[in-house]
Amino acid sequence: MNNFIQAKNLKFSYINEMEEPPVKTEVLKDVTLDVKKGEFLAVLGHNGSGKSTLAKCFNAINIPESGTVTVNGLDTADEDNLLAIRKSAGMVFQNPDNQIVATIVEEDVAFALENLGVEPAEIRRRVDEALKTVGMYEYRLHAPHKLSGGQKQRVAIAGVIAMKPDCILLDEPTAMLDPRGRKEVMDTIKQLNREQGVTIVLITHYMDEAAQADRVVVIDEGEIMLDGTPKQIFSQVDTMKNLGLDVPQVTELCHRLRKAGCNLPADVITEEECVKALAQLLRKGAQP
Amino acid sequence: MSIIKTEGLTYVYGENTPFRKVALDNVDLEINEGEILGVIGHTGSGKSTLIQHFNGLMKPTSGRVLVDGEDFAADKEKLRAVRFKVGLVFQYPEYQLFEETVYKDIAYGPKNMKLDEQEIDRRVRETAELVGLDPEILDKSPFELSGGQKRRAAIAGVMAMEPRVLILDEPASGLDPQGRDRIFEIIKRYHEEKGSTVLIVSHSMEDIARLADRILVMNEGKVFCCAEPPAVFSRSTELEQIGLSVPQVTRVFNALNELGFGLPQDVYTVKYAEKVLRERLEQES
Amino acid sequence: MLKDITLGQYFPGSSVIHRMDARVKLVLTIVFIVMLFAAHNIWGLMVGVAFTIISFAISRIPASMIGKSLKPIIPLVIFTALLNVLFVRTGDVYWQWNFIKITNEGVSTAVYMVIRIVCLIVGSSLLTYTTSPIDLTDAIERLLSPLKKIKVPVHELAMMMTIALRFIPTLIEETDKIMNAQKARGSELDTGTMGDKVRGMIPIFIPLFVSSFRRAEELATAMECRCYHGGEGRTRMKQMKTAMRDWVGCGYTAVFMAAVVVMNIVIK
Repeated sequence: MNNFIQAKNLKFSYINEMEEPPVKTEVLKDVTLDVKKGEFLAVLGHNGSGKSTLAKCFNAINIPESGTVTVNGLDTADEDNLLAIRKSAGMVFQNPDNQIVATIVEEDVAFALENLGVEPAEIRRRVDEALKTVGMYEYRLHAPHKLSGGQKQRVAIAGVIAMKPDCILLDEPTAMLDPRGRKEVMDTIKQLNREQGVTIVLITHYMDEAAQADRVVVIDEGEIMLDGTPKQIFSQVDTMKNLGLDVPQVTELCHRLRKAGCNLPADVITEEECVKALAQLLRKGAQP
Repeated sequence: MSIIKTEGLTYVYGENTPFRKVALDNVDLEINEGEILGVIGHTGSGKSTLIQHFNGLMKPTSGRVLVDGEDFAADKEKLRAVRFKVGLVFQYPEYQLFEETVYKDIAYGPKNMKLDEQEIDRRVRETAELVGLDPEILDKSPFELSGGQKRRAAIAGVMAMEPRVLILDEPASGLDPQGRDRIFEIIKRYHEEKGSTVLIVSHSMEDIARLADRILVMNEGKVFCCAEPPAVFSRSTELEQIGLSVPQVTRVFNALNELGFGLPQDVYTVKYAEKVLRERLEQES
Repeated sequence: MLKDITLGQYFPGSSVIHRMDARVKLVLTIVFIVMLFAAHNIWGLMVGVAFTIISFAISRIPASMIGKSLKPIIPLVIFTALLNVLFVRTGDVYWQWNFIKITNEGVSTAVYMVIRIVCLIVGSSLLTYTTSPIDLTDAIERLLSPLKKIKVPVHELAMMMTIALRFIPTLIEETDKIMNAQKARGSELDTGTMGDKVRGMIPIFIPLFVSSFRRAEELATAMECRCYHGGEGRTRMKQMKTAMRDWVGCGYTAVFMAAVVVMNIVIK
């Protein structure tokens, strides 16, 4: 068994206690999903589709209403598993400002380890290592509020990887960043996945980010609509648009040209593939 | 006819401190009445500082800003008037909502303009319709709305002031593709209906490319270039050098041209790319 | 600009005093305050003054910072001095007019009080100048930790202080943004009567409250995700260790304390 996270018939609702009687909103309806160890999974879906809720079910912040979620074989509904689950599936959130606790970068990275009662010398070692991994070591004594958005998110990632988790859940980590910050964060994520084999679950609504994953899951109205490789998913241009999502520009270009009768592959999702396919097409066109 | 003009506009943060930083360096700029101008630049390029000079939230260290031919910096009355002439929507504007109802919140700006009740009512209802908020939503608390609705209500709050220049700082940030498209449609409609000048600040070249008549590129406090999109995107390699990301199709066309296909260099939208390629293929066959 | 305000008064440096254990500094500051109030005569006080000046010199904090820390309390100092001059009515009369009577004891009490207050402020600001807020919070937490036995939530209080320190700059920046946004909608924040001004603050405070609650909620979730479960079983990366310099500091303070006592006994 190499499934790291397993969700089986997962159902989850938010209950608004402020209303009388309490209002229940069903967010996830019968989600069954496995995340394999070492996999880079991207979860796409428009705002309110339930994708963030799903991520929070993966580290026991949300407990299923019915169905089960297991992380590394541990049931999230069991209170005794809480710390073990959160230690092995760390989470990074959208707003970098609202997840940094301490007033000094290295103190913040140490936060989780201090909570776990790790030996001081070991904390020091792991904090330095984590900061070096995300390329923020020289900033270890800085105040977080003086860093750029991308740097803050990398500090947040360091705070998670210091726990040596098997998996990192990222809930729209780049939504509030500029292109430079987005690239910094994406590069860090890919490096962790490739070099250290960390399982990645990336919640996003940037298509170009999802295109870099091993596998993409599209969620809509609390249900999984599509599940496959980026090529399989993005080649369904019309379905994606109907779900209120987009496809990379290159995919759309090839899709439009195909519709116009050009002989192009349907599964173009990267710039390189697009350049290659178009070059071939143009050359062929030149030889009648 | 230019609606906003800057002459040698310079702004320095923290003058006489060790943190001194020139945010705007001798900016000369003319913005035409009725155009949509896209403003692009990475964080720290001075674009946010620039737009806050247009409605007097910031005052130049040296140089002048003329709105409608008038320098308003010295006159307190004019400074207030310029806030209504140049409407500014900040990034994440939903965080400025505060009234009990959406109606009252949209009416806040018009009320500050001392318009009469009837006019305020007309503007609130018209703008709500424009941004796609149903009349029954107007009586709700703004805090009950969904994220996208909140964003649109906040934008409506500035649009209801019917400024001659509407400036939006990253109006679509944090929204999903559908929400993004919706916001840009609203901006386009506002521009068409009111005929006002619109400035859109964005990191996303794709979004800007779809809408703008002209694009202003800021870099290190200076105007890098200010021209029509084809002219700007034909300098895509330089844009990438100053840390901006150009649209994917532009990069693809650059790569194809490097392979010697001799395609136009100003391709920046999918539609245009499709047109160019189809024409080329038809020509050859 | 609001966001340029630096928090607390920490003045980074590498002097011996900067490097001393925050706990020791905190305790020594308290000893220093006791020393000031134990001094009964001008010579004892002079020992206190000397202690303050020498400590400041060692810390290499620029003298201009002394002025900065004293500025806000000048009115208080003048007020206290006047009070003592006017209301201490014993001793030889220097000058009298109607019910106003200035005596030598009044004047000397006033001088003592002024010296005490000034030394008190300058000395304790030396603590905040040389100790970062986070170290100070840590020191307080550790010094107060015995109080946990009597159910004082020491860890929680320290955590609250840390989070407050962390979020003050963020919230200042946010206030700045909201103010600009509302100004752009024509709100008058700086004009009008008092009532107008108060009403003008509503569009700032409500969004600020709403966003603070949102931040608090998100932060709570993020802390939970990072295995926070209160102070129990928690370790700390930075261990506070006393070094030779701390004991030297203690000795140095003890010498001055002894000098004050000697002055009290010898000079009556």
